[in-house]
Amino acid sequence: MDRNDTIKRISGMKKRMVTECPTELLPERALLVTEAYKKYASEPPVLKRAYALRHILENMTLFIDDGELFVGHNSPKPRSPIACPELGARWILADLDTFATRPADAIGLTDENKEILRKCLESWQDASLDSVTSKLVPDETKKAIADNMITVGAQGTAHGNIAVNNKKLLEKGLRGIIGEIDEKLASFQPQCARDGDKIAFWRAAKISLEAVIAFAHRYADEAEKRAEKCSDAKRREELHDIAANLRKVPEFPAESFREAIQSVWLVYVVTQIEADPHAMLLGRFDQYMYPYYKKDKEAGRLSDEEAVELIAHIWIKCTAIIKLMDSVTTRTFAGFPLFQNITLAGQGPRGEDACNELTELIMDAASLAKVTQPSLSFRYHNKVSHKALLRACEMIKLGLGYPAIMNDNCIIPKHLIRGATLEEARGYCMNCVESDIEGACDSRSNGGYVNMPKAFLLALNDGADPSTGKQCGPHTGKLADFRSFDELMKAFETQVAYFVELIVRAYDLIDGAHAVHAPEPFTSALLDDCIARGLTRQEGGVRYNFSGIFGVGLASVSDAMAAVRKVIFDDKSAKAEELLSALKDNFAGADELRKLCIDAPKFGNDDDYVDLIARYAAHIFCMEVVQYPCMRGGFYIPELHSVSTHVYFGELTGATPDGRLAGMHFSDGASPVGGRDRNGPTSAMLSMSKLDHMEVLQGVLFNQKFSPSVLNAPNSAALLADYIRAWCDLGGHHIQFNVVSSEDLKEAQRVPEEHRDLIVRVAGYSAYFAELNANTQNEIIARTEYEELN
Amino acid sequence: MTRGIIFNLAHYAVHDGPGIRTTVFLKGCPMRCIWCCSPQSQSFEIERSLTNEKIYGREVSPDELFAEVSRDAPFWRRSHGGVTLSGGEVLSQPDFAVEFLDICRANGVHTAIETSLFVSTEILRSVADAADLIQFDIKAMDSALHRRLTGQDNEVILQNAAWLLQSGRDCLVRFPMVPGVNDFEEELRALGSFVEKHREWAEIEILKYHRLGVGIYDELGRSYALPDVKPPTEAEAAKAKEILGGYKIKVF
Repeated sequence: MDRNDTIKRISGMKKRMVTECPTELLPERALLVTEAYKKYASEPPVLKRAYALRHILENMTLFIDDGELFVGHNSPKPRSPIACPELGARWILADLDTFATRPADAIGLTDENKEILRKCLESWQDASLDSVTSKLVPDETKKAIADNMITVGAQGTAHGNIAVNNKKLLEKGLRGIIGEIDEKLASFQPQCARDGDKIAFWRAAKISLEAVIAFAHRYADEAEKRAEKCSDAKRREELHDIAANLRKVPEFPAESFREAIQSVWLVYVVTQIEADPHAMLLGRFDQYMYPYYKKDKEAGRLSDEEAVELIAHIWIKCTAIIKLMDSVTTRTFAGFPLFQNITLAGQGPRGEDACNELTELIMDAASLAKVTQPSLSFRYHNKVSHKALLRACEMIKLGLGYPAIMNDNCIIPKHLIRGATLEEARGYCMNCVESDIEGACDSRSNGGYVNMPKAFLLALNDGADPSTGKQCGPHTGKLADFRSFDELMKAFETQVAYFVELIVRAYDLIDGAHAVHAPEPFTSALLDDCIARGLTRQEGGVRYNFSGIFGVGLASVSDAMAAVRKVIFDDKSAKAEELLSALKDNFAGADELRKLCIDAPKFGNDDDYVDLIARYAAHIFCMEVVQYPCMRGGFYIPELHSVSTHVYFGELTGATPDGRLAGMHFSDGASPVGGRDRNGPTSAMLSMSKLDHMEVLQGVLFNQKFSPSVLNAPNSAALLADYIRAWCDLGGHHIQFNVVSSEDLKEAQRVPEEHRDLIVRVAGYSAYFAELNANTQNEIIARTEYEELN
Repeated sequence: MTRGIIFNLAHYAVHDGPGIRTTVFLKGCPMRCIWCCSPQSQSFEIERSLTNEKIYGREVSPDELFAEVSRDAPFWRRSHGGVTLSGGEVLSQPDFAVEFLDICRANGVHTAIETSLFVSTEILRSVADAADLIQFDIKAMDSALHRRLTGQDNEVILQNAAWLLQSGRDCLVRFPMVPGVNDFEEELRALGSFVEKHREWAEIEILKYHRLGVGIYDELGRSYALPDVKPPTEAEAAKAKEILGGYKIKVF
């Protein structure tokens, strides 16, 4: 096979489906689901959803690109998000007039389609999930949201953060899973009134699975129809192959690499159609696909070049899917991230190195496609293949922002703490910086986000926002009343406890509303142990369940704490009242005090004075979160990761004692505040390593930006590999590298049309720089440059 | 213990010896190379920037310095890296350098120095014995040219270079290539035959001239002598490499 043909095929698909494809919201799915809900109005919700899915799959426009070797897309066109009125009719209606004009992630919408959608959405009135959840969120939580102290997730959209059991899908096929359901239906003897729900779920799951099989056959018919009309003999043959594969999978077990990839992809697409979640994971692709690769390779049916070409499709096809997000979410999740992820490397069930030929071929494919989704996560461990790690480092040097490096030494024990068996723990796959047991874990990162710097501002001022005087949190005393820094930290702990509890109280109710109003029979059927338990994943049917809560702005809050400790308690160079009044006035006329604040120790420079404060602040947050059980069984787990919420909260928060002025963004993830880590990458890493990564059960994000000049040294990939090893020795959870110079970025900001291809790592995901809003762009530029250190 | 004066520490240094290194820049230099990219390295005194609040230079003892740099030990361990003493001129603070290098050696840390070799052979020998790798510059072969470019004669430098190359120590010769200033063909040929004569298959690294330190001249109220010189192009560097490659030398 000619490599040039591969490049041509993939770059053609990329142009048509991604880079030159305008975004457009189309009403098709919204109309279909509305029809189905009317028709099946008397059915219980789980069956209503199954019938709705069937109705969509039977009627939706099928997309096939002329280059594709396997097919399946969630909407009639690439880059065309679907609308789910059953989940979010209210917010979609509220945002309808601004989708096309909003500053971040604008989505095209014709006037005609807008009115069609408006009529459709209005017909839902109070029946959508977001109508239900809006009534459930307690007033106190609503007030905290309005005060920009917290956000609470999933009020009008579905949950992702899962990987379905692809291994089982490939081995049994959907027909095999239907067989499991039939056995349950045949043998189940109800014992109590609620047991009827189980039967309803099984019936709904079976309807959904049958609908997906029929959907595959519809796609096969479509491919054949196109083959008949196709004049190019080679393409005609490809279309016939596509059709033949779809007659077999996902219904039956896959027997070849091509069948396996088609099966996994079509099922993936239907999970997107069912509820439009974000962070649907593709899991350990190099593991579950390997037997099919190996068999075909040995039989001479598949070359490595062909495998790369097929895998590269995944990148184009994932990036071609975008999710409809509300205007606030686009500010916090900028750049159309879907948080799709493929996990590489890591350990096998007995702790052996799991790297294989596919591990590197997948990196080749991603390097060929060069698009933003899915992200790649590379699982490091002590026995990991040096060659595969070097390949990962070479890829990091390309500047795509991935693969991110995950540390088995830190993450496997977390899953043991979370209750998994050793073998399950070794089989984890990645989300963004969160990890899940593949096919058996629903650890949604949707609970909410806590504005930690603002919680500290409240701790300084008896629970009131210093800049407005508005009471936002509990009364915990004023800075002047505290005799020691420890007393101040106690007040912070009380504030954090209060806001974490507000999230938990609201999110548990939202979680419950999902179980009643938004069950997902199809996705649930592919997750262990939903069928065995007779529960959807929304009801807690999955083996392991967690809800995540995020602490935002750890470095910002730690810098602020260190400044207060230094200026007020240790040096006594300013009075408490002076500081509070300076914060109120955004440091106007307080230049000297602001300088004292700026000169105080800053996180990221390997300075224990502030680093140990950061460790303590993180510990306070983690302890508050893990004490709460979550609705579906399991418990709440903490995460130090902010996506883009640090920009959002920062814009809405007054001046802070680290010298930060009102409106400036906070630090990203657990990384140092951009530009304040002035001692070079090793010092930043050493500061980061003082946090207890193990107790942050859901994940810790560490983003380091290297200019290309650091990575152009001879042997630089090997040195980067050593650097990564050192980080993993130090106990880190995750690290990712941005490799672009700030000059490149400024240039791209000036002339975006010439730099549409420039990809940067935003947080746990990569995005096109040109698609990010100005604030996020500035924040990325501001992250520390290591150029001068060379 | 002897106190030394340093002006910078670089972490994740990957151009100053094997592995990931921590490079310590000692302050003070007897030479005044007209292209010098770190004018703050030249004076043996602590200096203040005239345009911002930066202070260049601080005193440290060898113990204190070791405590500071050894925080990077996790990175040295994984990459077989270590510490590099650079400058300024390391050999202008020989007692401090030797005491520090001895502490490193006692702790099993690989050490390198970067030097101009402008010092008596006796002093060179004492420091060279304490370091694992010696990286030195030859800036010009013609003595009149050398004087014009650096303010000092190159006789002792070439003597020291010959001794080091013959001694069999782990060495790296560096040629700071400044286009139109020291990269003439006859200079390169003289360099090639000199190095080849004293050690066959020695390693030479071409350091390409850069202008990253030019702003610091303004900070110190000084003017930069080479305002119009551009960094070597790929073609110019390849040409120099080709000439040196004609000798029994490993060029990179």
